[in-house]
Amino acid sequence: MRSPDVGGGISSSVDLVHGSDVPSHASWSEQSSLALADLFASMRAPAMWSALAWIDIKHRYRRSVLGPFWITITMAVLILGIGTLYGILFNLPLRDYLPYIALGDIVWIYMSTAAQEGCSAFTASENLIRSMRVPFMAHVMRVVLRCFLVFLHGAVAYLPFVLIFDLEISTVALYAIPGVVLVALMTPPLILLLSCLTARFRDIQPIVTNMMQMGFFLTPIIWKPEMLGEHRWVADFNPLFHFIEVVRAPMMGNLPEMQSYIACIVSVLVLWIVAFPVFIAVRRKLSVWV
Amino acid sequence: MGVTLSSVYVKLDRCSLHLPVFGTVNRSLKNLVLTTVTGGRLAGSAKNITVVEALNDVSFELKPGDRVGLTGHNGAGKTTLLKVLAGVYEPTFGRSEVYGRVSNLLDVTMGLDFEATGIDNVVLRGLLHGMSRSEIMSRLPSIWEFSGLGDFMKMPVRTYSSGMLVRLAFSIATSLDSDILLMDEWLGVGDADFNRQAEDRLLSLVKNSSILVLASHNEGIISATCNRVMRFEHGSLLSDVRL
Repeated sequence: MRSPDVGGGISSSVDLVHGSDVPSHASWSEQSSLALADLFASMRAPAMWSALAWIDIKHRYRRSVLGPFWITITMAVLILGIGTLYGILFNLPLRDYLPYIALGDIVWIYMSTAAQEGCSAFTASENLIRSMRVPFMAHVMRVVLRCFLVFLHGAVAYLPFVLIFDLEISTVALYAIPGVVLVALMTPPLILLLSCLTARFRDIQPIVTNMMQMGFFLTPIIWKPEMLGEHRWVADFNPLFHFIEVVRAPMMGNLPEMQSYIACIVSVLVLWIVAFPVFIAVRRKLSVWV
Repeated sequence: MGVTLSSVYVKLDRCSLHLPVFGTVNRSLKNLVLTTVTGGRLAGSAKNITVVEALNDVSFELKPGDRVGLTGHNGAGKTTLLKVLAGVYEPTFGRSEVYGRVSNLLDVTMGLDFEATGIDNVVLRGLLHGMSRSEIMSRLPSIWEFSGLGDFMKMPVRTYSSGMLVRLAFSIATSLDSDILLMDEWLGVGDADFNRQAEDRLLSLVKNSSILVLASHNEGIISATCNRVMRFEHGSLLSDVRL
């Protein structure tokens, strides 16, 4: 209906959503196509959200010598503390146990930060949302990318353990790359869902924080699933375990089981199946809710 | 369909906008759960969300060359209307159609990152507007010059005075490629020099056949810049006069 942008070379990303009719009380199908348009618009403008994510990271470096590397240090200290304690309690060889707990914790912190910071993806951008039209998914992708960059900082915490224990890294470790990709693929629908819910119900954030705290103990990070014996299903039915496993197992020199990959892929699909309809339903109200 | 040859136009058809005001009570999940659990006994109190009728049955059309001044008391709906035009709010009832690239200056601090430098903010606003980094960089010198901020452009925005903020925000908003320019009560914060420069720039932008919508309490500014005045009261359009 609207002629494509001529001249100026302006990417029509934001404009298209704008140019579309903005109906009210529109049908579900119209709302769906508007929600899809929002998704595509943000995918077409990665420069927009990567600039925002980059600014967030720069903020963490500002006036701090180490910046986000403090996360790395905190993580290394925690791993060393908890790892040594439980290694002795469980009577496990530290050379095997410390790298195990380090890898588990690094992936865990990535997922739990994504969940916790994801809650406020919209509410923290209130100012921006209320002042100009930016695809909502761009605010989500900002947090997705920011969490990934912080995860890369955190991953460095594994290095000292490699050096201290002189660990061999086999070619199987390359399988950790698709593993990380799977974990990263899980964050956009997770953050989209949580941020939509938090925009309406502010209680979601503390609930998620609490669940993540519980999750840390219920997921095999400081313990191994074999230790459960006949109760092993507790780990197997926990999707978070599989997301950790697809990264941790190859790094430890083992191939992850097929069921772990299946569990991860199914989880990502289920998250989209839940998150997208929620987004369709609430999209037009987000700017008055935040 | 509004049959226009130009691809730039604005049409509001019986738009109403209801803004829910959530108190701490209403937004909690507990209340919603309690409502469900008690079979709606609490429904009265839990669902009793205050709704502000910010716009009420507003219809009008804007075409290139229209320079609209919005007047009305505080809370009459001027800013809300600008936010509907900016695509921030979608009307609760009715239909709003905005065709064209919108640049807005609704709030001086909008979208500015206070820790980042002036230059970074120019880039950020440009990217959010949908421009490419190279396009923004090619426009940076002129934005820099117009703002008159000199070396302050390299300083974090948090060090700026409110007048300097206006200079930066105005320079950016008027330098982006746009067909529709929205402004909310901003003049008068800068010094006399800058205000004169700003008025000149606004007039030149308007001459390029874009649409301008300006909310202001200042009759002088409106009569100097606008060729159409809309008066709002309690969210309704009272009068729409061409000058």
